[in-house]
Amino acid sequence: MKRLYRYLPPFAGDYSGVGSALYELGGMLCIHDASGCTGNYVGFDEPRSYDSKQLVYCTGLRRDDAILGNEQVYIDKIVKAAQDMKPKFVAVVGSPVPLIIGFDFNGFAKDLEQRLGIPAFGFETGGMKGSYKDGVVMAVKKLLDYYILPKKDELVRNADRSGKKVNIVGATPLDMSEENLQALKTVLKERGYELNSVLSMSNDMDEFLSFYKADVNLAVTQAGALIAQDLEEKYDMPFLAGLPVGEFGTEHYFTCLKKVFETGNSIEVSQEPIKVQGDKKGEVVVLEDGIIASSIRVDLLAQGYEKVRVVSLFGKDAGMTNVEAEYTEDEDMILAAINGEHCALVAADPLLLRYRENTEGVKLVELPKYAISSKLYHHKRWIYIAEKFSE
Amino acid sequence: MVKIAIYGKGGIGKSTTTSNLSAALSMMGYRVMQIGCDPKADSTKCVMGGVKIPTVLDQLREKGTDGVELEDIVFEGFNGILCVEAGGPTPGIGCAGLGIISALQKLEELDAFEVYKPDIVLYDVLGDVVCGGFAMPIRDGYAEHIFIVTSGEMMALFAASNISRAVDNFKNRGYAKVSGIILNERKVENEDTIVKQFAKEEGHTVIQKIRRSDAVQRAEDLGQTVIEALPDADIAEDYKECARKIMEICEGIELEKCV
Repeated sequence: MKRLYRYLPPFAGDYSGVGSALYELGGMLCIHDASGCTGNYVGFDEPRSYDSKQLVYCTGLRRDDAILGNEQVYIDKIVKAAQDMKPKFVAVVGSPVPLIIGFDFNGFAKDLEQRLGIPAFGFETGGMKGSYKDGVVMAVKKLLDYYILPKKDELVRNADRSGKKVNIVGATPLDMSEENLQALKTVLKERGYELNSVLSMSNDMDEFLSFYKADVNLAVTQAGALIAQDLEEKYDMPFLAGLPVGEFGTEHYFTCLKKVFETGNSIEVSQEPIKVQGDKKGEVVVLEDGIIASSIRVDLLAQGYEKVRVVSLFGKDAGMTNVEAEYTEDEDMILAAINGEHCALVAADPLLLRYRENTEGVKLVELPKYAISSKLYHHKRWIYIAEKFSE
Repeated sequence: MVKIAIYGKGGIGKSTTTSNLSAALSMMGYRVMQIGCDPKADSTKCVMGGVKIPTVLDQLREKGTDGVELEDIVFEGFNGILCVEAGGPTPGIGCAGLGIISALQKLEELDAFEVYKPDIVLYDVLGDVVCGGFAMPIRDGYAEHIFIVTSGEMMALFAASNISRAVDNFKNRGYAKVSGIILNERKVENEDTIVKQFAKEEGHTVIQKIRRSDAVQRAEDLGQTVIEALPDADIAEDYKECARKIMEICEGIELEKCV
């Protein structure tokens, strides 16, 4: 019962992460479900689905077909839909029932690939373990491994990092609003960096696949840090894990980025010494994606806050070194963190902040996050990248 | 790493064959992992000195999904052979196929192959490909080669034909291919001819005949393989020859890469 959520909704699942990561790339997303997960993804986890086009196909899985293994029915339907819509690729994404009956996503995708003559990818998702973060990582890695890895030796890389070219890695609307992404692009340009590609809010497949032309990857979320780590292993690309949050945090971030360009070694914003510039303030708790939260921590410590607790809701990953962080998916612990005593400031999604009981003398900073509260507080989003935080 | 699945009718001698192949391959200097994929969980008994090891599903039941470590499910037997038994659900309840899936996924999750680095993995799989769970060992990423054990008996050939057809159904999916038939002799009249003819019709080859011998029973009574207990027996030579041919076949075939 410990993992039962009584007050909070389930956060965005892995299938939504796959869908979100692939959204802009011109593929057809086939969600193998009875239509519940498709509804979740399209209706609640994907803000872009309201005003732009994406090919999403719901297989409409039924009990008898699951028991009898009638996969051919679904293959035929998907083939017909793909022949009509002409996507660049097909992504087969799972829901709880296929996952439980041991559906072979890769084998199914291979079958589709043979029939359609276009790439098809299977994703073993089910919304039952992990989170959207795992889906984002799975999707980006699988596509890059398919399209680029076999050509690795022919890629022309800029070995001396003289181009000041960067990729933004791990950005999806589930973690980051369009406005904050835009603010990041703007500040990068102002500081003289050229943005090469955004994984995975690129405008198209060509931009997505040209990631190797950049010198450094900017891992802006936990998903981003996991992808960047993989790209470092496979393509020898260094990365910076973090975000330029707030005025002080932004200066700190670009000092770190300069260092990555100079040394070619990956670092995390939380690893570098922070210069305290503000007056002494109280304690803080931030509940967010670990990388976003530890980037907020940098700015708040520089502002003079004495202690900043980072509570990652999506597990412990790369990119969170030297942060006194807690990692939990446990509702009791999340609510306990929200109600932490001696806090001068609590920053979290408004849905979580609703459960803060004592609000006297505490500054509550709302960080609307689509993966947590979907469209409920989307109207409250604000820009904290390269802007003052919590003034 | 070479990954092989052994299929065949229930009771035809798959576990005996697999265990003796594991032993023979280990004597050739290979590091072998044998994974029993049958709820009976007795595939590795003769490699483990007659002892039944705790199964992956037993340990999951007892320790919970997050509490199981590799040392709880991987055991070293004769000549360093690494033994794993997938196990099964409570008899009469649950789902055996899903049990196999969960067990193999647990091994993957714990990076068993990266940790132990076996040269050869042998999956000993229950009789027929009855559902997705029993096809799991031949899916992309698992075994690359299938060897079917059969005798000249009609039911054994019937089961072998079913297995061959099931594998053929998955030809578009990058699954493992049938790489040969192992004839486990039962002294049926014209057995060699019958099995050879069967193999020809199915488009396969009989790679080795394992002669019938009471040495198998004597070794099993000791809780051992023939290779360990009676290494000079004629049948031990058959297993050694079979192991050599399997490696020749497996190392010579290049598999197409899957998405």
